[in-house]
Amino acid sequence: MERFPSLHVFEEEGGIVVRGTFPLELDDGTIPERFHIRVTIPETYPKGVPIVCETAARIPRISDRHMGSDGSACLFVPEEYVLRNPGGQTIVEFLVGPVRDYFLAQLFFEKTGAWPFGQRPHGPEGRREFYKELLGLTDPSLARPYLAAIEAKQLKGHWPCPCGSSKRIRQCHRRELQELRNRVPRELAQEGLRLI
Amino acid sequence: MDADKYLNDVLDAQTLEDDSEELKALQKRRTEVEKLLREEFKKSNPRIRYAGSKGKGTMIKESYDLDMTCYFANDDTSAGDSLEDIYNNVKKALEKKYKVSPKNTSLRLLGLDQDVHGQDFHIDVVPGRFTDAEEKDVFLHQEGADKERLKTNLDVHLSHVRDSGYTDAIRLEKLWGVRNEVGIKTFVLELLVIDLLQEKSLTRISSQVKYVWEQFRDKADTLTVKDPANPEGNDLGKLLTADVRRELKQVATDTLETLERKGWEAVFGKVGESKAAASAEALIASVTSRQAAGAMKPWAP
Repeated sequence: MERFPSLHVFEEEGGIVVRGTFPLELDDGTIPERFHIRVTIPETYPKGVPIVCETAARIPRISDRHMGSDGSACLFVPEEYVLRNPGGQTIVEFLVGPVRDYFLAQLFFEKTGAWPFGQRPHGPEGRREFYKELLGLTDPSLARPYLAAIEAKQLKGHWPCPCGSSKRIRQCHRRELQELRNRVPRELAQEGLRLI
Repeated sequence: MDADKYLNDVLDAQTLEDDSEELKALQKRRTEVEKLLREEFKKSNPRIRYAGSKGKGTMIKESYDLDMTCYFANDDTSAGDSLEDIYNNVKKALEKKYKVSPKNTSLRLLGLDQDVHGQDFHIDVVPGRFTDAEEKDVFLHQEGADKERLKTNLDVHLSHVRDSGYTDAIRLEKLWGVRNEVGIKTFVLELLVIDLLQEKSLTRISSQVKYVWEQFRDKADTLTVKDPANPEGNDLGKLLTADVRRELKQVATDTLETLERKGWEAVFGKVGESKAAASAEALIASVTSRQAAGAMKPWAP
């Protein structure tokens, strides 16, 4: 790849894979480390999310380091990525964006013990946290009823408001829910309902 | 840019001095491994010595694995009757303290404890048994291979590479292989480099390295390699699989294009890149700019 000469594109049995070493370049142009990665491009790309693995076991493969036991790098909650990049990204954008951020955070964590961009709790709790932020909620347990309201084919004013107020939607958060339905893709809400 | 000077600077930057922190850490762990093996196999006196790049003079900082032999005397059955028994018993012994990843003839050591779980310690232990009392040739068990054992000779391997006259070219090709994740066994790469360069009389390091890539690009499908310690007995050709040949060809092609368009520094990077060289200020500045841009939080499913 012209931008990353040590990453190469291969056609493999499962699809397209980008393999090699990823140079973590800081803003001043220095490269403190190169990470061995494999990026699997899904069939649904560019809308589908590429999967990144760190292949040299450089980073301990534990969830506290946001690594799967198989070396998969847990860069973000996938729905967050999809929401920020509805049309997907080019591979270079993906590499200089989320991939670089991830390894930058890993290096910073090793030096300071702190995650510079924060971190999400593991598992469904982390997903709920994302939806809580997305939907502007104070209570993460309300994520499911809100997602259901977004996922519905039509929003009916007489339904109970998902905020739990016992009022009907038309008397409560109708405008906010309509705005959310405009902003959050229905497929994302479906995925969220499936996963949290 | 003077290509040869640049490449020699790259080599200098990749040299691990004996008193470097990396080698000291490796040697400390080597000492632990040796102690564990000698305790486990008290009845034997296995030959534990450096093999691999440390013995050959081809170590690079970027990928500084340590190979250790654990060879038993030809008449010693205390570690196991068969080669497979020896391999498995050495593996079992190592598993008391490490996570062990079995490879074809060696055992890779990884971290076992929670804080280093799965972390690569860059040490391969090679169990084997000498073929006779002279203790020159050795049999190694081949895990999962058609042929259960292979016969080799460590000293022949070490001298073939160390005394080839091409250790600098080998080190650069190793660095290239590591940086570009070319899936070829290091010792096969070493043998290929030696064989290819022996056909030509190229003295400049830049010419040597470029020539090897050209051969990988143009002749990947017909490359052959022989084990200098057992040329008729060990079929190293099996290690040049179709996938390996494809990777050699593709990565060499990409590299030669990069070299043509952007020069040597685009291939091997700026000299002296390292974690130590990167300043804390640069790291903080980079993180700060990404915080402002709203970098996403990592998450584990």
